[in-house]
Amino acid sequence: MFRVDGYPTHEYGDFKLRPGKPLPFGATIVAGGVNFSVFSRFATACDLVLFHRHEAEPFAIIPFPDSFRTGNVFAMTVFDLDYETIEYGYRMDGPFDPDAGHRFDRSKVLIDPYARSLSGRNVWGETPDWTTPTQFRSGIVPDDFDWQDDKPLEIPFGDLVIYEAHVRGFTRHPSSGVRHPGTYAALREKIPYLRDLGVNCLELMPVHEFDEFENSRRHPETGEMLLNYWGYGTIGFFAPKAGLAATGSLGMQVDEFKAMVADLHRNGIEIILDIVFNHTGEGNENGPTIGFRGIDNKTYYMLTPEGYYWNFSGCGNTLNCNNPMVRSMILDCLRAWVSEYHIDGFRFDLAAILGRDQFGAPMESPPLLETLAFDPILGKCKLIAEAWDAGGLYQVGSFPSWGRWAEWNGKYRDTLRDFLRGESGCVGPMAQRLAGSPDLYRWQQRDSHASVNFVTCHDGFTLHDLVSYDSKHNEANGENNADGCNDNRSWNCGEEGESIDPEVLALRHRQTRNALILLLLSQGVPMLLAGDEFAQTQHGNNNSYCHDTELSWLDWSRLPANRDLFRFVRLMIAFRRAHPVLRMPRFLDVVGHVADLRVPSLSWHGTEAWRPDFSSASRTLALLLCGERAQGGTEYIYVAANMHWEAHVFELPDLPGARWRIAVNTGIPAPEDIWPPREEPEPADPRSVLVGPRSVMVLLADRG
Amino acid sequence: MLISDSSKKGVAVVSVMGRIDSTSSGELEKRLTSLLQRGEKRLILDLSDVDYMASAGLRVLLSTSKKSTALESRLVLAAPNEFIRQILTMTGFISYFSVFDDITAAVAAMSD
Repeated sequence: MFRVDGYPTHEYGDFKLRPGKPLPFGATIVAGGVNFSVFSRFATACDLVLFHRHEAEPFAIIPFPDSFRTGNVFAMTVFDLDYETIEYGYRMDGPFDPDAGHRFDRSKVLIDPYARSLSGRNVWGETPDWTTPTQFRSGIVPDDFDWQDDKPLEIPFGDLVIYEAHVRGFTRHPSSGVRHPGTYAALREKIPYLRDLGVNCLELMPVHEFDEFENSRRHPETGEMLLNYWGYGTIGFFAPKAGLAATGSLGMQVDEFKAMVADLHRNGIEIILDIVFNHTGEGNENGPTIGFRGIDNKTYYMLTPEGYYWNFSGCGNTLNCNNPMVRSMILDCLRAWVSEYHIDGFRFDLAAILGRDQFGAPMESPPLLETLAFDPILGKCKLIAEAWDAGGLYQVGSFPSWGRWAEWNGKYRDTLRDFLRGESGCVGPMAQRLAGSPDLYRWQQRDSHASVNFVTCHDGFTLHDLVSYDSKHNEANGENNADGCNDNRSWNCGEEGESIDPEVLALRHRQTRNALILLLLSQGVPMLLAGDEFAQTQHGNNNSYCHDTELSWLDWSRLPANRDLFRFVRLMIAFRRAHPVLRMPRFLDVVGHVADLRVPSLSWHGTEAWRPDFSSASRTLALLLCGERAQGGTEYIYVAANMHWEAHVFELPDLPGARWRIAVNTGIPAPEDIWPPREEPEPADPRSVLVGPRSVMVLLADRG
Repeated sequence: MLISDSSKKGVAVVSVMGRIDSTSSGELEKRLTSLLQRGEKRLILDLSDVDYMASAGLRVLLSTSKKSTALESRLVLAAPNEFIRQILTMTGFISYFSVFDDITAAVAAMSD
């Protein structure tokens, strides 16, 4: 088709131009050239700066003619550009008046907030040339991946078993046995492992372009280089991090990333991205000017009346999420990840910030969160909030949801940890957590799928360390062990750190299994931390954000030694998937009697059947679930948790016509701690079971 | 980039020398497309002398491969060096193609 807009109307030096289209923002390949569009409310002028890849100096600086500006948008089409070999940036003119919130600096070449790729840190950990004035440049990417039939999987939320991993940490360790360690490509090689384990949702820690050298420093004593390894400090929300791609040095990270997504989907695994909209990698007024600060500081950041940066994120600045322009950037970004990358969902880091107004005050109905909840392109994707921030706003149970948002249930983690270590007064709260936290979510007419349950995540101890350390050991972070959370609710089982005492080790084995089993039997959506299935350790470090070393990388050589644990997790995940009653969307105590008129869907018990002991001194709790079997008929699942240091006899609920079988007993060493389907033994006494000290038993019965 | 074609046992072999990037990929696409339109049913792309393949190159391979399928022809890749093979693997493009270690193996497979 002939189009009149395929021809230039203007010239600048050797360059042929035409007024650009203001939408979409960013650099878009159009007939004959590339359309560049960028908005700034307060800039007075803007230049497009063009570079050849790998060359330090730009080959062209093209001012946007004033006639190319529409409102606050600078837009220009430049013809005959080889999008594959050029990179670009913008220079903005405007006031430098920090008191008024403006920090324009014409000497800086700024990245495009909508850049689909960024260069500058293409190879992870390669020491940057700090003398280069422009550390990052934007790249142009065609959106033409051949997805074939792929689309987001839309697995019902309650059926997910989420597995949280760091792209680099997952395969960087020499023991990982992959060809391109630490990359998206390597992650693809591990998909068979994930399938074997049985998880169906991979949640990746930040993959949006960040600078691993942000605040990089040497450990004062050891001299070790400390980086921003985790990556919470985004500079490009639309760009997958090149340094996490095996092809990053070739600028092919977008293809590599999409190939990973397609491969995960082919294997029935969803992908959720941890996305950090609460702050950027530009830090406070002493940080670098990379993009946002120089393009439109006052729009992008929450500023104090004096023009300094509010720090609700604990990371120097706060993205101004409820400014209408920033809101639309966030929406554009998420839409791009869903439509261009087929991402299945997002976990929003410090999401409480997304509900603060432009002055930092929490809002009743934050427009950003509402927009995301109702957006049609995001309509089926998972939205998970880390429902707190570093400014003291804690919204677990009260995060505005519109029936769409789920939460990282921090109270689940805390309760389970307390129950596990035998604290008093935990039986009542633990019952709430096992039931999907109705105390937190029922009042809003939400269901149990509002709750993402976890006992460990990247932030804090690994599960092995949770049962091996009473307190954090963060000396390697170079901050005198002052950083990281102190509220760990952990217990070392008798000896701090690694132990050879068989009793200590046996107890740790049990406690690890107890935690995993309660997690996987709870209503809600379980999330596992990568490596917990083979006892990954960080040697007591509960804040490994800065370590691009074996301290953080998954050590796959632990897998053979912990095969029993891996098998336990694999069978428990399979157990969860086999029994629909473990993942009911509606709160079961509301459901009442469904499958059996005599037995409610959910009932509580103690050492005596039908008599739970919720008293403060109690450390025993049993739960009976009754539901429809996947293959028809009625099934009963009985869970007896004894977190007391003494063994207790639990009377089994009498279910006429049903015979109990033992599926799990963490009080017995592997492999008899868990039984595969149809191999479960019957208890010696059909009326009661002896549950060992700090042990959990699961029994099954069915009828029909 | 230089392109030459020949025929081995009735199979068309297109040999490329140099870089397949955004400046050269258009020419390669034209050449492959014209062979397909001429009715070639079996086509081997000889990559033994290709030392770099950019994103545009991968796209030409993929789009031509799709064209060949539509025309009921078969396009295979032969003799990529280790670097090119890595690029194909890491970006996932390799899953779209049959790749042979050398021309002889490709010809043999095409003659089956």
